[in-house]
Amino acid sequence: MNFLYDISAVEIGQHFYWSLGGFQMHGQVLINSWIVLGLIIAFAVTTTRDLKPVPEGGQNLAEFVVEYIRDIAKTQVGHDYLEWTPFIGTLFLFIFVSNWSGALIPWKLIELPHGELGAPTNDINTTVALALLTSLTYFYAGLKKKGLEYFGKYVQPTPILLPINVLEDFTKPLSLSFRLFGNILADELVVAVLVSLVPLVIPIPLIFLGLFTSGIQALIFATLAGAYIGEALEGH
Amino acid sequence: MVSLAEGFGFNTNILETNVLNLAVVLPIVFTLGRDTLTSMLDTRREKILGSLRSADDRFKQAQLELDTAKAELATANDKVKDIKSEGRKTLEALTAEQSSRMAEVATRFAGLKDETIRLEEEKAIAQFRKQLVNVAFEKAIVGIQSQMNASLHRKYIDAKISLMTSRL
Repeated sequence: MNFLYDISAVEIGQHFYWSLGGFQMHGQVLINSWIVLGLIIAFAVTTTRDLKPVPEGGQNLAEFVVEYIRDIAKTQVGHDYLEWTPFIGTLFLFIFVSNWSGALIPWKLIELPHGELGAPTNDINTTVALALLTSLTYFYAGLKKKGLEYFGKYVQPTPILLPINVLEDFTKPLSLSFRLFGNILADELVVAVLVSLVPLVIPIPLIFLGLFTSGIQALIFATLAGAYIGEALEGH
Repeated sequence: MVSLAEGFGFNTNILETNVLNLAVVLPIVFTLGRDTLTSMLDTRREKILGSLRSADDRFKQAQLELDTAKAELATANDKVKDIKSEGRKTLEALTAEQSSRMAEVATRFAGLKDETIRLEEEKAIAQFRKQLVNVAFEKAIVGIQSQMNASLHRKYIDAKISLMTSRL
């Protein structure tokens, strides 16, 4: 019995804690975030070092990615989309690379004293940070464009809806963070559980499913962030 | 077996680390991703090349048009010069003609003037003559009337008659 328990044991809620100024931090998440950032920065630097009028190879890929992100921003934000493209693009790239790195890189080869490496987005702290940044950004966008008149949207179309409108500002980051966190953690858990039960072949389709949902989640997060910004910007 | 390791290290358990599954997944993802990506990037590159080429073509065409326009401008300039010189020529011809006509008119006027003066002179002379004759006649008549008497009258008539007969 103990043997079966050991086979099916999956680590969850174990963290590699770092403490800094009285705060406990999840070290494995930070390490993975840095790795993801390094990957993205390395990609950006290597592909744009030698720019040509007719894009070749890496430059072509980088331009394709930028165009894709710009299209997302354009369709969601609308008129002044260029100002918000970097933010949305950062969200998309960070989440996408995080999710895929979690699914594709065999992190379990490396052992930590506690916890295990994985996608940075499988930690609620990361997703909440991203969602709160989105909230800040759309508030900033609205206030910058309309000043204090921005708060007039809370009594639109009728003051009766004021509580719901206020509530929306809380539900937006909540849903953003929990959706991403839940999806990624679930993906990784499903794969991890299956690997511990049936180590070969069976997890493969689920890894592909995980890749698919990971990409979708990145797209959804970026799209929703753009939509919120666009909503804050749209005038009455 | 799963163990909560105390410290950094490498997990060498192949089954536990999911390496074999990933060894299957990664090549598939890479090949699929590379194929779709390369085709997408190639079409994108072709599109960019095409637009660059068409822009180049348009530039060349525009240059050609510019050249023809420049040539047209040059011919137009030549034409303008021609027209200017022609106009100057005609102006000169016209002024020459004008001056010659003026001279002609002047001479004609001068002739007319001389004629008129001559005519007036003649008229004046004729009138003067007539007046002179009239005055002579009047004086003769007065003289005749004052000196005429019967014997003289008869003499005169006789002389006239004899003149008439001699003439016949």
